[in-house]
Amino acid sequence: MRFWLTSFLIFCGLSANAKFQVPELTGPVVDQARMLTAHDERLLEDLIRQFQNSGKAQIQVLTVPTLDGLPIEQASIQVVDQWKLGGAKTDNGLLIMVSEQDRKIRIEVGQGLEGVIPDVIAKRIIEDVMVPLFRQGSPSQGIVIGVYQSMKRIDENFNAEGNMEEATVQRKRTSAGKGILIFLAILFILAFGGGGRGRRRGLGWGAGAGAFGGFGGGGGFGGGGGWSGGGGGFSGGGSSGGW
Amino acid sequence: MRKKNLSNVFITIAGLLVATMLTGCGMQSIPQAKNQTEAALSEITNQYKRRADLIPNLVQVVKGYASHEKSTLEGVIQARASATQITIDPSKASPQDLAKYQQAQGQLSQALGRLMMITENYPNLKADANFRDLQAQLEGTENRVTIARQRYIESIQQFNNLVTVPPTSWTNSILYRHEKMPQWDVTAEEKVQNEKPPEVKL
Repeated sequence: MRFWLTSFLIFCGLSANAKFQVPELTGPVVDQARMLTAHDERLLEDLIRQFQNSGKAQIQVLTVPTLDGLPIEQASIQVVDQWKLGGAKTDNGLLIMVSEQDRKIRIEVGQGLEGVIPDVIAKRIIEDVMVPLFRQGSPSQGIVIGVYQSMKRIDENFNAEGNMEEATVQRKRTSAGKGILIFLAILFILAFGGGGRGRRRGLGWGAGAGAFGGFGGGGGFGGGGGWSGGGGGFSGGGSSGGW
Repeated sequence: MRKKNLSNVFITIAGLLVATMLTGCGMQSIPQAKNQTEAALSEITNQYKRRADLIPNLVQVVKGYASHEKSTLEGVIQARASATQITIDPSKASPQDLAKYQQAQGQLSQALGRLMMITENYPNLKADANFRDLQAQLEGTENRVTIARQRYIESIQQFNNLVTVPPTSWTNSILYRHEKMPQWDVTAEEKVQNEKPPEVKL
């Protein structure tokens, strides 16, 4: 009896594990497969937040180690159905998803962006721009350029290069005060967080970054605010490729 | 006088209670779910239409490089012609209509599959910018069809749950008398493929 019970539990556990699960939306860049360099990750976060603030689109980067046998189109639609990137009325979400072991890339385009990034353009961004860099062994760069190209498509006037530089300069400027910031943050957590461990976990990444942004006074660049989808709809637009 | 007021109040409260109970019991959710299934079905037909619109260009491009693959090209043209002849009205399509529609689209999928298979043998065609674009569009459309079908299946499941599982099923039997909807049968499309196995040329 116990044997059956244990094997049943193990079986359940296994079948649950073997399924692709949508990760938690913790920020504009969810790098589960750790394919991005620390520099690129920060750069992308700043850039994507800035782009989001301009109201043009909510771009999201996701890397996963494996898809557990699921086609990437199925996985990506599960992700966007759960995360609901983009505004509820504008449907301007865009997901760039990479699976490391499957060597697959997908750009999932929200309904509101299908006009500016039709499937053909998504395919070109993947095949002509991203894949060559992935093949050369620099996936981090490949993802950055993928985001950059998508932004360029959505907003021709968006000067990503200039903004990238500005973002890095801003970074450097704020990093001087970082020691004090961390000290203040620890104080803050000690003072208010004592009884609210569960709540703190619930608030998660967004709240933490919000506190930092608030202290630094840096606003847009320094992290600022939570990150969540706005109810945007997807219907399978975009394209996929592999390297 | 006072008694009458009191009974009025009582009736109003009872009426409100019944109304709230009914809203909770499917008075709204059943018609909403029905509308949802219709919207989901029109999305499928919309995407299939999009696919049909892409085909003439695709055939044209492939012809340029592989004109002697006549039978395959004609197969696609014919399958497209018969698939576009069968249209359905999402709000009043019978299961038989749906089955016919699915079969025609399945045949077109199969013909298209064969066409894409032979394109593998033509490197020049595969490098053609036009062809690459069309291929990307076709892939995108097939993906949209898959997702639209999934959503339709989910919406039917939701509707069927509402009309068969109490307490909403009681509301249904009193007010709407909807029948359980047949689930979208993917096998109807696959059957086509099983009946005619792809020819193997050696």
